[in-house]
Amino acid sequence: MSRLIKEYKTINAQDDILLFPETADNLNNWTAMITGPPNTPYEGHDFKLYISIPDAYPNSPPMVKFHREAMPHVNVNYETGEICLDILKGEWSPVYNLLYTVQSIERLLSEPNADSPLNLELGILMREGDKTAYDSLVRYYLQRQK
Amino acid sequence: MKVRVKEVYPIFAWSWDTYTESTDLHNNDPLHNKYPNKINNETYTFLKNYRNDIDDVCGICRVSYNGVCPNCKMPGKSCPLVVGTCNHNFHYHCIYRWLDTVNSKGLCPMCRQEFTLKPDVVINAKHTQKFMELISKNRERRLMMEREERELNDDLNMDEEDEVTRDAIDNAAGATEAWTQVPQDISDEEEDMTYDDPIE
Amino acid sequence: MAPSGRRTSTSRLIGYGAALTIAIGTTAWLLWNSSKDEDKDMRATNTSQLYKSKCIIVTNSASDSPNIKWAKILADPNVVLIIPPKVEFPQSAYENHVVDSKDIYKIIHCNTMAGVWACVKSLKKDELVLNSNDLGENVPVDIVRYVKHISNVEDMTSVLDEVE
Repeated sequence: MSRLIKEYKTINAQDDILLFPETADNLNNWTAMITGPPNTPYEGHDFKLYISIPDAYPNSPPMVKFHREAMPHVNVNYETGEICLDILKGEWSPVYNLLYTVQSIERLLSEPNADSPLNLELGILMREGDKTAYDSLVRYYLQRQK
Repeated sequence: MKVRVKEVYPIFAWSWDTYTESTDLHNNDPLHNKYPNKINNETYTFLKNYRNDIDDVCGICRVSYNGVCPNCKMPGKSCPLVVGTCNHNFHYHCIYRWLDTVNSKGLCPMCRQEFTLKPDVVINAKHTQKFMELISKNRERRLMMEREERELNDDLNMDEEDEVTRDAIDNAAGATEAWTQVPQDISDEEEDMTYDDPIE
Repeated sequence: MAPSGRRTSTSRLIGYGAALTIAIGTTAWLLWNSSKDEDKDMRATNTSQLYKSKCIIVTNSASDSPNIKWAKILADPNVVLIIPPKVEFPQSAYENHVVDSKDIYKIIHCNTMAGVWACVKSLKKDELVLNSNDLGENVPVDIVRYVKHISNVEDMTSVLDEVE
């Protein structure tokens, strides 16, 4: 737990990062805001991440989700917001921290991975190499939510 | 001039002897080779480690090597430091707890090589036995996981030869694919499909 | 002391009675009213649109037609257009193609036919409108699992009437 307090202090000292615990006296649940990377269909949109910290942290990875039905992405289950990312599963290392995790998810938006699709249709579009359709469909979902 | 010493405040500092490559470093460093007698090897190592240890923290708990892991109160003997063969240092308690998880697969959190204690490092000596046990436990775990995976693949291959099972898998896959919209009534749907202009 | 006490209890009793009557009355009225609303809703769905949302695959015969008012069709929040490969859908070639910029996101362009079907499956609209003669390939058999109804129309102009 004391490591989380350290992370909290570091993150708090930087004002350009939108990563904060739900309440200052409970560091088990965090929220983060990430911005859609430029030159992706996510550009111009912000996304909220829900982070919950397991007791075994940092020996177990944090559990991170998008809001349900908010993230059309090949590695995200659209219905539940569940994310498929190696460092959130088997490739986790205790030297990673919350900030690194959030940054990795931000990177996932510009680097989708067709090998582990949680969104089957977007997976097909990626494997077919139909980037036009992928971007169009993603934009449709994002715009529709507004 | 006469100076009278009134009081003396001795100051001590200690640091874990993570001494690893510093001998080579020292010998190859022209700055120190110029004055080989002014600063002896041991002092150099100590100073180097001490300086590094101020910046260097255990990658797992983010506390200085000379500090304590989250579960300890007194730095020093009760919360020792260990040095890996890969030259990554951790509090003994931190790295042990990590390597004891299934997640770790026995790998160093920094470089993802199998974590073993660096031989011939004084501070490692006390822990060699315990880490050897942990390493063999992790190797066994890995072998077991590989075996399970192989068996699972074999099972899947066998199923594919079996018509009935394959149909069952197909149906299951179909069910997960159509997550949101469950067709309300299959017979209804089939009626709908008889449009005026049938699709070839 | 005693008579005044009795009077209070009597008036209290009357008060309770009145309150109870009002409560029952209101409940009954509310129930009746809501059932009337329900009737109205049922009638609306039965008469107007059976399938609320539509996914239209725009093929050449439709995109070339100057009579289809795409802007009007796309103003419907439940309509999506899918443009298959090699189909031109110039957004300003004809007057009827000038789509409001806030609706442009509802036009999904695809470079492959596999992409077209993946989009249809993802969108899961109630009705899929297409012209199979134009498409030049069969509708995949599993599409029926993702839409409630497939309308195969020769002349896309009729789509407009349906939407209106």
